[in-house]
Amino acid sequence: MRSRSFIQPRKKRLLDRMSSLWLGFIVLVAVGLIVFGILIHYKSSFYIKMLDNLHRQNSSEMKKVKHLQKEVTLMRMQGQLAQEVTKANEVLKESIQNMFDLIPDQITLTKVVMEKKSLYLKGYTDSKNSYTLLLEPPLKSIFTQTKVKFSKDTKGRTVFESYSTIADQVSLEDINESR
Amino acid sequence: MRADNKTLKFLIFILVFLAVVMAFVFLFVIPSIKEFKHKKAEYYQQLKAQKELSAKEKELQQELQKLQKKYAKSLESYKVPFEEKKFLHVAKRYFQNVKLTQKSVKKTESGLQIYEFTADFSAQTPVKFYQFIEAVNHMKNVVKINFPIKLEARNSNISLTFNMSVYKL
Repeated sequence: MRSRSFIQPRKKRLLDRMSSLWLGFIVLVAVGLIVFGILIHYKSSFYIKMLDNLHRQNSSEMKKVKHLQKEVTLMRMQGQLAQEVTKANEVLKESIQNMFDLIPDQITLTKVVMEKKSLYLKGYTDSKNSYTLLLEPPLKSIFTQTKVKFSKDTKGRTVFESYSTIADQVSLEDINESR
Repeated sequence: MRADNKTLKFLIFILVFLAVVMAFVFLFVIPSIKEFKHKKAEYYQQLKAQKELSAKEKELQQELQKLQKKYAKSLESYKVPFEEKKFLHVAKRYFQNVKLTQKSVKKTESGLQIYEFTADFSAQTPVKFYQFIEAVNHMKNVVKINFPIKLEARNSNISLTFNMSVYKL
């Protein structure tokens, strides 16, 4: 025998109330997380854009700085060079002056060749002794090595040729500079 | 039996919820935060670099201005064109026969060009040579007298040969 109900049949829901609440909650949390992620991503892209600009600005700034550094170095070198040239000329003038001051009255020079580290002198002297006593000592005090050769010219005068050199580390200019 | 069903459902939903949250957090949120942090740090690093570069640029510009002031005269003298005629005109005040021969042009590290000359002059006394060197130092150009310097007695005169360099921009 079939049992019958007197109650009106209700529509059966696919999900009960509790399940719907749970699903809604899960979807809501997921959407919230997605929105949060998107927001962070959006902020990151903002920084990426700003970084692009900064990279561009910094690379052009870097070029400027490098150019300026080069300019400063060149300007310093050029400025110092002009001063060094003036000083070198001054030292050279003193070198020549000092060299001529060394020559005593008994000696007449006919040829002088001044190099950075050597001095060649040719001339005549009234006697070998005049050279040995008056010119050789000052030359030996300046140069590390001095060689001399004596001969007689057609007029019977004593001709000397001296070649003096300075050790590699110092030059004529250095000696005058230190004086 | 009904109560057990509800508990099971509740547990399943909790697990699903945790799985969804974990999946979204690990796959979506954490990489985004990592990227964000990385870009933010990089941005501030670049910002700091920009400030440093700006300060460096300012400092260099000030240094450049200082150097321009300090070496104004020297720097100006490199720009003055070297005129052989004028130079020889000055040389004639000290020497009789004056001849200048250009040997070569070199470029230096400092961005300058060096014009090398050989000078052949003749004078009555070496004193004129000292005076000439002093005059060279007062010229508008940057001129350096170089070794070797050769002085030779020729009749009543001294023949003088030396090298010189003219520095130009």
